[in-house]
Amino acid sequence: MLLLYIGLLTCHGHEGPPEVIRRLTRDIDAGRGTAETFLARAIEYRILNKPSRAARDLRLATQADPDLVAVWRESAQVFLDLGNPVSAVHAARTALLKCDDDSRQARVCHLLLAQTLRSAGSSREALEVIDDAFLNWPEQDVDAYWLRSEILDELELQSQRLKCLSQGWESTGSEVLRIAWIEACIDLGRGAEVLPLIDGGLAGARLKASWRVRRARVLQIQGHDDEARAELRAALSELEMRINPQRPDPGVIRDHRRAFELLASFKVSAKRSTAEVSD
Amino acid sequence: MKFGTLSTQNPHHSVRQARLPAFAPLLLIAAIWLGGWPTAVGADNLSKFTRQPYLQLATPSSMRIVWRTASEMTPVVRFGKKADDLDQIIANEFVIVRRLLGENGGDESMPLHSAPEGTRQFETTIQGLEHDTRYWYAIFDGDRRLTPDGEAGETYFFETHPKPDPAPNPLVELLIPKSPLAFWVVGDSGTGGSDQIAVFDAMRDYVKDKKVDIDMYLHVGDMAYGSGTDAEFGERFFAIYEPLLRNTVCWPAMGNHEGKTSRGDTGVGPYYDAYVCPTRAEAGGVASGLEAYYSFDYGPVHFVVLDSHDLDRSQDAPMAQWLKADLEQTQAEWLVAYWHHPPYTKGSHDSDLELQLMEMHENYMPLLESAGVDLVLGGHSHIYERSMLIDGAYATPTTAENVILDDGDGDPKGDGAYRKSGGLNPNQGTVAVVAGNGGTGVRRKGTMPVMRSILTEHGSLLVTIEGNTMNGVMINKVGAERDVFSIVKQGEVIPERVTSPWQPSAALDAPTMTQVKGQEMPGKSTAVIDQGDTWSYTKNPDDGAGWYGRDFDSSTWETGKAGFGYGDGDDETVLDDMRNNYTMLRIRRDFELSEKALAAGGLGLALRYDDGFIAYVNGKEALRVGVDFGAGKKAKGVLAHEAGRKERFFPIETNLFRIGKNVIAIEGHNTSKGSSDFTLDPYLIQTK
Repeated sequence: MLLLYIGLLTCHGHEGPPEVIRRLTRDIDAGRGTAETFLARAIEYRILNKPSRAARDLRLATQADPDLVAVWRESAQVFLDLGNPVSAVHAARTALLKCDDDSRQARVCHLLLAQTLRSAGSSREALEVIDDAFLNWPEQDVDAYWLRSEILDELELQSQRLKCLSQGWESTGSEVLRIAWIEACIDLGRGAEVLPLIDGGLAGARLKASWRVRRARVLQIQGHDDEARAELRAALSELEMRINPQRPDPGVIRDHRRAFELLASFKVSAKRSTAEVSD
Repeated sequence: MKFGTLSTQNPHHSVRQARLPAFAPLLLIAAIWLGGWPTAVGADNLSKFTRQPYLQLATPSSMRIVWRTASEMTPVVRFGKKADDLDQIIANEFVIVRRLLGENGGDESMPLHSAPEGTRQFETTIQGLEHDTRYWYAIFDGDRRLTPDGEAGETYFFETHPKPDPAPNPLVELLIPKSPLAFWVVGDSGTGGSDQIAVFDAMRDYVKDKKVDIDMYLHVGDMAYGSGTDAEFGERFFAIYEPLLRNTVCWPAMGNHEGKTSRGDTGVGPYYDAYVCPTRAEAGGVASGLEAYYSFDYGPVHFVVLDSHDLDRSQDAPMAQWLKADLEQTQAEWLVAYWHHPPYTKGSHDSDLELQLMEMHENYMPLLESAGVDLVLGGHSHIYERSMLIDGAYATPTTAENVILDDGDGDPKGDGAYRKSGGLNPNQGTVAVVAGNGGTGVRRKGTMPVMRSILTEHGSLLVTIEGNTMNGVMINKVGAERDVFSIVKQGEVIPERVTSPWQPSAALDAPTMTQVKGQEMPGKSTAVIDQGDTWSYTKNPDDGAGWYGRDFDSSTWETGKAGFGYGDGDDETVLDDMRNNYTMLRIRRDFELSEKALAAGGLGLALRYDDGFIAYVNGKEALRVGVDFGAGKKAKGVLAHEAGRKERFFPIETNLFRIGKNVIAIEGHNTSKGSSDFTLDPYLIQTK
C-alpha cells in the first residue's frame, strides 16, 4: 500500500525528477510534509545522483514516522551510495526489525542486510544473514545466489561457493551462474570436469574470446601449454578486432587484459624456467 | 509480408458488441442437433473473460495462450491451420490454472500475486508447432465456445516465429522470399486516455492502408499508469490493445510505473502476473534465470530486453554479465535492444542528470555497441527522439563530439539510408530511439545533440526488417508519417566519425498544436461559441455524474462569461474563492449546428488555459491537454502551463458533432490549490 501511495505522489507521468521535487517541496513548505512525501522526494534526489540530499530527506522521513520499513530500506541504499556502509547496516537492520510477518518484505530486507554487511566488511555475518534467507525462502532468485556466491568467495569457502552456484544454476537456469560455476571449477583445479561445457560454449559462440580464455586456463593447468597459448592468441586476435580505439568497451578491454596477462604468464614462467636451467 | 491480419474490430467497443456472423444461430442449431460442439456460439460468451485471450512467449515451435475469468471453468483450447477446422485440442489437464496465494487449488508453484478475489488465470503452451506458420485457436469452457465463431473468430490466430537462420542462402531466398518482420514499438502509453487510443488507432489504420501485418508488439514500459496495479493493467493495457493482443505477442520491458508494484529481482507483482517472459532461453539467446531481462530471436533478428528500473545496472552485476554472454552467443544478422530508461534524451527526462539513464549509456551501450547493436529503443521520456547513426556516446553529459558516424537524416528519400557492413560488426553505428510518446503528455526539456529527429507529439514507431534493410517510421496519433529512417547492411563499410556534425535546433517546439493528416491550421475562421459567451459552470467536483453528456441538466449550476479564473487580471468571471480551496472547474454550453455547418467540418477549439483541461463534445472526450490521465477528482499529472495567447486545437473529430443541439463541456485543472493563477477561456471556431 505504501509503495502505491509513494507511486501516487510521484506518478505525474510527464514530470522529470526536478519537477517532482519542486512539487513535493511546495507541499513540504506548505506544511504538508509527511514521511511519505520526504521518502518520495528522497527517491527523486537519488535518481538525480544527489545521495546527500536524499539522506537528509530520509532522516526527516524517519523522524516523521520511524516505523516505515520502506524509508529504512531506501536509507540503506542511500548510505551505500554515500560509501557509508556502517550506517547502511544500521538502516538495513532497522528495516528488518520493523518488518512484520510479510514474508516478501522480510526476504528483501534479509538480502539488503547481507549486502550492507558485505560492504561493511562483515562477510561472516553477511553469510549468516543470507543463509537465513535461503533457509526461510528456499526459492531464491539469481541476484541472491550471486550475492551469496560473492560472499562465499570473499570468505574463501570455495567448495560451498561451487555448490551455491551449481544450485543456483539448476534452480534458475541462469547462464551467468553457470559461467560463474565453470570459472569456479577452473579456480579449484577441476577444469577437466568442465572442459566439455567449455567446448560446447566455444562451438556455439559468435564471439569466442571469453570461452577461449576459459579453455586456455584449463589447458594451462593440464600442462598443454602450446594449445593454451594458441587459444590465447586467437582470443587476443578477436578482441583486438573488437576494441574500438576511440571509445572502447571496458568489458572488451578487461577480457583483453586477462588474455594478455595469461599469455604473459607463460612467457614469465618460460623465462623463469630458462633462468632456473641456466642457474 | 502477411496481409490484413490485424483485427479491424474497434477495440473500444464493449466486448459484448463483437459482431456475430449472420449464420450463427443456424450453426448453433446444427451443433445442438448433431450433439457436438460448440453448444453455444456467440460474442456474449466473451463476457466470461475478465481478461480476453492473449499471446505470449512465441517460439518457432510453440505459443503460450493466456486468459482470465472471474470464476472456475473447464479450460479447453482448440487450434488448427484453418479457421473453420480447429482439429487439435489442448485438454483442460494441460492448462495451468493460476490463483491468488491462499486460494485453494490451482498451480501452487505459480500463484497470482495480484488480482481480484476468485480470479483464475489460465495458461497453456501449445507445442510441436510448425515454424513460421499461422494457426487459429478458440477457447472453450468444456464444450461451450467462449471466443467467437465465424468472421470474428478468424481474428483469433497466432503465427509461430521463423527459425533463426545463421547462414542464409541467397539463392534460396531469391526463390522463396522470406516475409519481412514488422514490429510495433510503443512506450509510456498506459493512461487509458484518448491520446493512447488515437495512437493505437492511427497505427492500425496505417498498417491496414499499407497492407503490413504487425508480427510483434514491443512495449518499452509504462503501460499501466500510475502504479501498474492489476486494475490499471486491465483498463489501460489489456482493454485498449485486446484486438491486437489476441493475435500478436507483446514482448515487454518493465517501466518505472509498473515498478511501483512489481519487482524485477523476485518477479512478483501485477506486471509479472500479466506476462510470461523467457527465463531459460525458451525463445533463443541464453538463459537469464528471471523474467526481468531476457532475449529472443525472430528469424535473423535477435532482441534483447533489459530491466533499467530496479536491478543493479553496474557492469559487474548479473544483468550485464548475462548480456555479455547473450551477445557473445547470438548468430543473428540484426540486433535490437530495448528497455525503459533511454540512454539519450532531453524530453520529459534528462539522460545527463538521471542515474538510471546515465548508467544505461555509460555501462550498457559499450557492451551493446561492441557486439554490433543496430537499434536501441527506450521510453520513459515523453517525446519522440531519434538519433543519427552514433557510436561511443558513453560520456556524461552526452555530446555530439566524435560520436556521429553519419549525420544525415537516414531517410532513403532524403540524405539516404545509414550504411553498415553486413551482419553484426562492432561499433559500426547505432540508431537510438525514444518512443515515450505513446499516450501520456508529451514534453521537451532541451536538445539532445545526438538526435536527428525530435518530435513533441504523440505517436508510435513501426519497424520493418527485410533482408539487409531495416526501416523505421514514426506514425503520429493522426496517422501522419513524421520520421523515416533506414539502415542498410551490405558489403564492408568502414565507419568514419563526422568531425563537425549536423546539430538539431535548440528551439523548443510548442507541444500544444495539433494538426490532422496534413491539414493546415485555419487561416480564417468564424466563432461558433464566441469569446466572452456565457457558460454554465460548477466548482463542485461531485456535481452530477455524466455532467459532460448531452442530456445532463445543468440548470442548478452558476452561469458566467468566459474566461474563468483568477490571479492574472484577465478573467471575465473571477473565481476569487478558488485559490487554496479547489483545483478544478467544470463548464458546459449548448450550441446549435446546421446541416451545412456540420458538412463544412473544420471545427476546433481555441483557448487560453492554465494549467490543463479535458474537453468533451456530446459526452465524448475530444481533447486532453496537460492532464495525463483520469478525470475529475481522479485526474493525475497536471502539467504546469501559463495562459498566454489563445492556442488553437484544430480540428476536433467531426463525427463527434451532430446536426441541431450539441454540447461542449470542459474541465479545467490547476496544478495545485495554492497556485497563483488559473485560466479557462475557450471558444469554438469553424473554418470559413
